[in-house]
Amino acid sequence: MTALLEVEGLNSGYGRLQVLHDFSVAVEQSTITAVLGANGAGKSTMLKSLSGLVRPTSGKVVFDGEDITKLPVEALIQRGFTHVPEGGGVIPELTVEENLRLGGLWRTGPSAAKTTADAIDEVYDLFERLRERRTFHGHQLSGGERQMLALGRALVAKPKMVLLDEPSLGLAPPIVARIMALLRDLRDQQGLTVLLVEQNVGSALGIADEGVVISVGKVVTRGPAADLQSDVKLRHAYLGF
Amino acid sequence: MNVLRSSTLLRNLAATAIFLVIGFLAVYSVDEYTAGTVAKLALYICAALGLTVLVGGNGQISLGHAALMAIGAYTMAKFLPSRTDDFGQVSIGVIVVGLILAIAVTTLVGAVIGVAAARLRGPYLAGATLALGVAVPGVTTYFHDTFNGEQGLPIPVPRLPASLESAGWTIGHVVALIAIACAAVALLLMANLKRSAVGRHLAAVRDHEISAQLCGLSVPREQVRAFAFSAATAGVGGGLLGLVIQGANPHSFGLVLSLSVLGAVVIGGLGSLRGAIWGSIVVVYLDLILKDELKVDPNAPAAAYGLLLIVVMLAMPGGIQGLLTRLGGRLPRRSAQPQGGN
Amino acid sequence: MERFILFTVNGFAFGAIYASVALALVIIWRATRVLNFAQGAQAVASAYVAWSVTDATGSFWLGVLAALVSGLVIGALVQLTVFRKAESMPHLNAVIVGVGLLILIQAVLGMAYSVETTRTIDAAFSSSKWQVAGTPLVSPQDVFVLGSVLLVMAGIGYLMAKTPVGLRMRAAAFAPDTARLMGVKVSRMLTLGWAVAGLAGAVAAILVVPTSAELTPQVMDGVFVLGFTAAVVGGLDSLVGAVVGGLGVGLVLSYTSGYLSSDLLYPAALVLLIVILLVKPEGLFSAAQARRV
Repeated sequence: MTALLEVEGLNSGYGRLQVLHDFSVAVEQSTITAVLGANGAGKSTMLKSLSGLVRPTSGKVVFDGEDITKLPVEALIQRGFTHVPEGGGVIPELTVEENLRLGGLWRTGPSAAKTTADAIDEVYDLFERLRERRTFHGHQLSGGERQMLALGRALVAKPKMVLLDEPSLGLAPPIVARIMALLRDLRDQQGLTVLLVEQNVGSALGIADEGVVISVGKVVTRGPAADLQSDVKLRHAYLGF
Repeated sequence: MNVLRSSTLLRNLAATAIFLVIGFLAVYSVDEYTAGTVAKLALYICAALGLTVLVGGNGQISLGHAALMAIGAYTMAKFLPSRTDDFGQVSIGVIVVGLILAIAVTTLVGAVIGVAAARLRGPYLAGATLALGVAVPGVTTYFHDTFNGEQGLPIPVPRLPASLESAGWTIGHVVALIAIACAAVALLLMANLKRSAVGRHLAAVRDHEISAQLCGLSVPREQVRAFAFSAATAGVGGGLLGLVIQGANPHSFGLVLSLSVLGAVVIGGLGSLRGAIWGSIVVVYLDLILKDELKVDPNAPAAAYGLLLIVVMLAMPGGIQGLLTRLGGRLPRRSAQPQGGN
Repeated sequence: MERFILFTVNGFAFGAIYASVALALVIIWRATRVLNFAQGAQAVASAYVAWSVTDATGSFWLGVLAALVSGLVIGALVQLTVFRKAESMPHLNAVIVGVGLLILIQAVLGMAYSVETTRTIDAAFSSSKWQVAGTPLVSPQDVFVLGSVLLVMAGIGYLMAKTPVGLRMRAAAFAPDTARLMGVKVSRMLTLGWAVAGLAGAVAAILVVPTSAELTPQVMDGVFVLGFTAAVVGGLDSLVGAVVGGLGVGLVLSYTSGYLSSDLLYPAALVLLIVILLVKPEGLFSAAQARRV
């Protein structure tokens, strides 16, 4: 049994400030793993350390059998590894269409343009709203539309795995529900693998297969999502509900 | 010693006294040509002291300081000629009055520019002050009757007191003495300013405008103040330069001068008064040694300090003074580390 | 009327040149929040390259080509050697580094090309005006100046707006981290941006030096200030603004120096700059509003 993403003993932080301590996780192909924790627990730093936006001080990240710990950030997308940063990272100065095209820029070869155009079309089928607004600029979108665009852009890359940093942040509950349902569908129908970082514990555990709880940069507990959801003591202690 | 340590004013007075003694000895012991260099150094120090308070102490930048210096020189050129004696010379007293007038006029203009500058940030202010510097020749030509265009206006030389003349002194020595005295006064005032509440207000605005505002400081007011202070010393520096070159003309107060003074400030260490002195020495003597002693290409000094400017900014933003404090093993003074704030 | 036509045509011709400088400044500002004070000096260096090549080969157009290529190369070199580090520093440091580079380039040019020779760059075409019904209108050189700048604008505009490289450049400029996650080699795109800016600057130099008596290291000092004014008028963030700002500043200054006095060129630019900065500091076309969202 080899997981698609295997993280071992990751230590990371900013300068002399260590944020993440000895973090390990294994994410199986076509599953959703939710990393949960309160504000400041080190969730975003963990994701950034996986994709190289923050360089880990030690530890190993293996994706699809390849050690990607030291790869440059820009080399990841062509390996099928994408990271949707907190807030989505939609570029406000670019149009919806241009933002989506960014997801396919890594492709080379004669059929690259066609593949990307088709992928964008699929995203439009998924989010009709984005098709209607294809010429709008990023800053003209609502929060929910921006999150859809961010997710859509990641999908244009046709990734094996998506890292998602708090997709529910600042969104109304119906939109959160829609995004979560979509992630579940993508896993079930297309076999997408997702590492989901969330403060919105209920929604995240609702779709996740596995859960990892971190507090102050350390893993507190892990296990099947259903178990975590029913562990009342854990919820009170670390997740605040 | 303890008294010196505890009292800022006494310490600054002592430093100024040392500066004065060294300066006077330097003037006393050299020939007229070298006295000219000493005068040039002293006037650079004047202008650099104010500019370092503006750039390093308050975080504003000026690429057009020569324009303010020109105002000082033109003020002198307007005031002095009508007060000459039969030999076309003016008494030292009149020159002092002229310099004070130069300070007054440039401070006023500086405050007006400061009002505009307070609304501009970083690169915008840099560009606007550059435009100010470049506009000077056009203004002097357009108002030809007042400024006599490219030719500029003459500035009379000071009269040599008979006692000094018999001691073998020349007019050049007297000009150098005046310049040294001005630099010493500027040093004393700026040193006290930096250690005063006003100086801390300027630094607060430099380090974090919003926090300064939340502490009840008016950001524009502090910025206008900083501009006025720096304009005042630029006015003296300009007036002195006018005395040295015996005239005021747009060419002598061009971009080269603006950037030289800025270079002195940066190389010496932004925000540091002692740094302004080191930097002025570097800029003036680099010029002198490369051009007059080694007789290399006339562009070599500019190339050298252009390069120095880049290297200092990229590799050691504290400049010479920052290097000295680090070598001295002491913690760098906050005020000498304008980059540290953000 | 004849004077009005003359001033208008001159305004457009010079405005196009300011626009070209402004464009260079805007490209770099958008990408790195650095205002490149060495842009004028870099452009002059390209002009010297043009002069040298023309001097050696006798071909004006080879000189122009060399200037354009050198503009690209110098732009890239400047970014790789100096500004890559300065970009991440506070504004003040980057400004001073630019000033240092300005002094350095001018001094090196002064050392490499002795003052004993008088150097000029000819206009590409005749500067005598075509007449329509006895009224002199435009000269072939005017058309060439305006045409080349418009061509450069269109080229850069197309590159930026329509090509994948342009999309990469814009993404790298606006959101470097996101761009990297999308596989964009951000530092390479920034270097490319500086190179393109160098090209725009070189074009300005080739067009403006023929209007000066002589090619000197300082010949672009004033033009740089006017280009900066144009960029600020248009909004430092906007490529379209740079063009419109350039032409607008060109017209205003041409009328001022034409009807009042040519001495007022730079003072008028200063007044214009200050007024714009105080009244509408984000410029007329800036996308700065969008960024705040």
